[in-house]
Amino acid sequence: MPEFTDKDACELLDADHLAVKHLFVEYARLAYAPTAVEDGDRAAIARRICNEISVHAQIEEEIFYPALRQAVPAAADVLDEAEEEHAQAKSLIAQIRALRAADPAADALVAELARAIEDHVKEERDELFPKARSASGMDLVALAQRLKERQRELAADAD
Amino acid sequence: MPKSTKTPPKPAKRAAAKSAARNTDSGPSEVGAALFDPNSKKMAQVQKMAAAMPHNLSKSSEHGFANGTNPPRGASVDPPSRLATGSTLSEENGSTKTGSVASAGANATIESLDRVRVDSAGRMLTTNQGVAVADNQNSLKDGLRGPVLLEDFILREKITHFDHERIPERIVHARGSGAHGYFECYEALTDITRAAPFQAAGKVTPVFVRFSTVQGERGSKDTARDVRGFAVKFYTEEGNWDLVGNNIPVFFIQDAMKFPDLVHAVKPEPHHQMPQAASAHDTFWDFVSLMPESTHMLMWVMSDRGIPRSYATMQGFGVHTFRMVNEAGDSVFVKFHWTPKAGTHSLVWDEAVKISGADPDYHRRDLWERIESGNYPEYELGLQVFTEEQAEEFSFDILDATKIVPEELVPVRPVGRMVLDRNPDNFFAETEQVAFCTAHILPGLDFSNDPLLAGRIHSYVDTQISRLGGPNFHEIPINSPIAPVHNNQRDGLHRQAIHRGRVSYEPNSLAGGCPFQAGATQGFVSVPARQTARDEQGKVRAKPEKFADHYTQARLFYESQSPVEQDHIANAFRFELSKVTVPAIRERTVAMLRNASEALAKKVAMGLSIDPLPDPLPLALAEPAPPEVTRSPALSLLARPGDGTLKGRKVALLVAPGVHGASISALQAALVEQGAVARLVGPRIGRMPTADGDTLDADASMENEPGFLFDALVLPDGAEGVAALAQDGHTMEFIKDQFRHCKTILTLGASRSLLAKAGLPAAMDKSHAQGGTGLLFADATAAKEVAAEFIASVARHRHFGREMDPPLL
Repeated sequence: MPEFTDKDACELLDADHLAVKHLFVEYARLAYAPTAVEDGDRAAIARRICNEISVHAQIEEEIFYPALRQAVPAAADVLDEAEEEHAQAKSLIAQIRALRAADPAADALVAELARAIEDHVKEERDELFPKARSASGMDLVALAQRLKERQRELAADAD
Repeated sequence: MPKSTKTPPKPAKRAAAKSAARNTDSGPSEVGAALFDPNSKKMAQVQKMAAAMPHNLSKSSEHGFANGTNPPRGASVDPPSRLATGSTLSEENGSTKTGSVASAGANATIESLDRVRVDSAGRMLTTNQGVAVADNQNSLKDGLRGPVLLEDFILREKITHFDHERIPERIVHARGSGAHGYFECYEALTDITRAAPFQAAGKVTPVFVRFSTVQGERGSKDTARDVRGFAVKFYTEEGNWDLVGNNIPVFFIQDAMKFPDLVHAVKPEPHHQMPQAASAHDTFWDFVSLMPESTHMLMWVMSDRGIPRSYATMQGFGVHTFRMVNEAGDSVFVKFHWTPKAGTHSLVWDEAVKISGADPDYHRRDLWERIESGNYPEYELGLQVFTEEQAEEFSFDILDATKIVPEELVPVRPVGRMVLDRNPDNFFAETEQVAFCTAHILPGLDFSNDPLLAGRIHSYVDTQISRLGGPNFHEIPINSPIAPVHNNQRDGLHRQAIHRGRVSYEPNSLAGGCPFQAGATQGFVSVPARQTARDEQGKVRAKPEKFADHYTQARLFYESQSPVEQDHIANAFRFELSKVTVPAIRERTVAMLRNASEALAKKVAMGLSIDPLPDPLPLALAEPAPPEVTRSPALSLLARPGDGTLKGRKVALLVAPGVHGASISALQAALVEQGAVARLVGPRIGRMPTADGDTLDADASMENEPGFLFDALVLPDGAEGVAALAQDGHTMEFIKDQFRHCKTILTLGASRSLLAKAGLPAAMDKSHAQGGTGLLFADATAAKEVAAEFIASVARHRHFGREMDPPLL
């Protein structure tokens, strides 16, 4: 990868979006593969997806959303909706975690989660990020630092 | 005068016979052959041959159902000699033009295409009459500055022929490309069919295949979103069989009565003749949103299936249910599936749009180049076989062309493979003049009662008659069978065959009864079994009830796709409907989609700012039968990666003066080794010195071969070369398109800065650390080592993890 300057808060969150999308795509590739693939691989990807999204949702809820709520009062509706979507994703994650084996039921749940996250990401990118980026009261660089630290803590717990 | 009861005395034999046999308008009561006199000998033999058939021996077998299903071979007698069946005694007088006498029982028009091949090596230029042309530069004038003379037959012949070079294009499937090849049978299928191609393991049958788009005109772009035609002509020893299929197993409509309406709606609109090769316009969506049976087909066309990467990477389907019939006359239903060995791969929409500008011949070129380079497209033929009793139990009607038989319900049995290994010599003579007709089937095959198929059986033959200028299109070399052709069809425009003899009717005794009907053992007999109607029914214009289930299988298709594929479907609906100028049509379509998938309908509606959602369209069938299969992974492209080879794929290696040459050459060699085409693409074409003292010769430029034309990209090392690429705006577009279309990009050494300059988002860093992005980075010194990883990544086709809507880059 080329060297980049530090990412701001939106870029940091978007990096999560892209990384988890890669996991969803890889999961689907294995789930649909015509020749038998190790089920363990799929289950491991599913676990990783669940962990990544849980951490991501938590840092958004703890840090990014409150900051945006404060800086852009007009974003309240969109943020309420985003939090509802998080709740929906968490319920799917709980169901996926309860299933141990990678089977068609797990595949269906992971696909449903993928669709839910895709919609959520689109809303975030289309509606929240432009608000955050244009809000005069938001320091996206400082926010990125806080997000990153909290992410590190939570990821350590999840492992 | 009293009537004489005595036979009059015989006349003087020899002279009388000779005299009598020299007339064409009357004859004596008894025919005698005079010694050494062919005329009277012929007359006598004709009499003998006719007398050997004192009555029509077959007449009594023309009646009743049992005879109808098992007709006998027609009666014939051997003529005493060939004299009796000839047109003329003067056939003995041959010349270099007339040749000699027709070979017994032969039709020379079915010989291989060699009979009409032309090569002009070492030849003079002539007129069509074979007159050598002394001067092909000037018309004939009265003086150097004088008027052109009307008598210049050479000029006039040349111009007149030129004026008539074009023929009408096909009404649909006008844009197409063809190739020769062969079908090879894996094992004898004599248990289910007596059709010639399936009679023995290893049996090889020559084929000609034509792929096409449907909507666009003859010169239109290849990469339009559309169904692709996949038509195969099998030249068997029992006649030609045309399997006239598509790359999608279902269709928009259920009855041929709607075919002209559908095609009128999708074609360029009649007032301004726009848009070309596109379904994204008012009339198409107006029609289909009023025809909910099209929903299933719309799912397929809006999926990535509608924009294939190559003709070699798309499936083919017979669409309708057909029958196979064995020697005993027992029949089963079959569905035909072609599966590409290279995998079923597609473009992405943004790529398809760009390709249509830079290379409208993209699929035609790809097919041609694959065959020229020995990467022969190969497809496996599979059959779904089921009985009439099984079919009756299905939740859907097998006569309905908007329904598939899910593979989970009836598995696909591989029965053979098709390899396309020869390009045509001449596009017009072969690809343009080839005439496919669903009516062309063989003993061992039969139709189902699918009402769309019935219309096609009529329409294809009919349309060829006007397109190819008459009823003799079967004699155009590419269309002529390799099986003997003998019948009493005669005359018409452009007749090629010269029939010997005077008989063009049956029954006859003047040709010894020939050609006679083949009878059930060798001839085609239609399967008497028919779908039984539950109640006694009369003539009727209506559909069976199950045809009214318009959404169950549309839902099956959508629910069977991976999330990325579902996104592509939603985006395609959004794009197409955004091109519709009438909001009511957009809304009606969304209302229709709600019956198939609420999630899809919502997504499409959101993309079109349709809020609130319109009520779903009313259902034609309130309670459709519960489907046997609700999810069929085989419908996803992810289930069809193919053999994973790089054969036929194109990779761009960007070069400029001062790049590191050895690493580029090493990668090029590794790619070519895998069957890929690895092109050096520079700011200009031609030789360029490298940093390490070698020279590279770019055969393409970023101007003439933009990035979206390649399956993958290699960016070079070498500070000077990279600096040259960095100041060329094409480079960044090249990288951007490769990134956006989710292709594999290998970045060597100094080119890392090009990726940053092209705008590679910083947010990719986490994905990169995680792996599997299809973005590879290596030092030039490790080029050889990274080659295997790069090749494996290209074989994955696309890396959709980086796909966002709207795109990141």
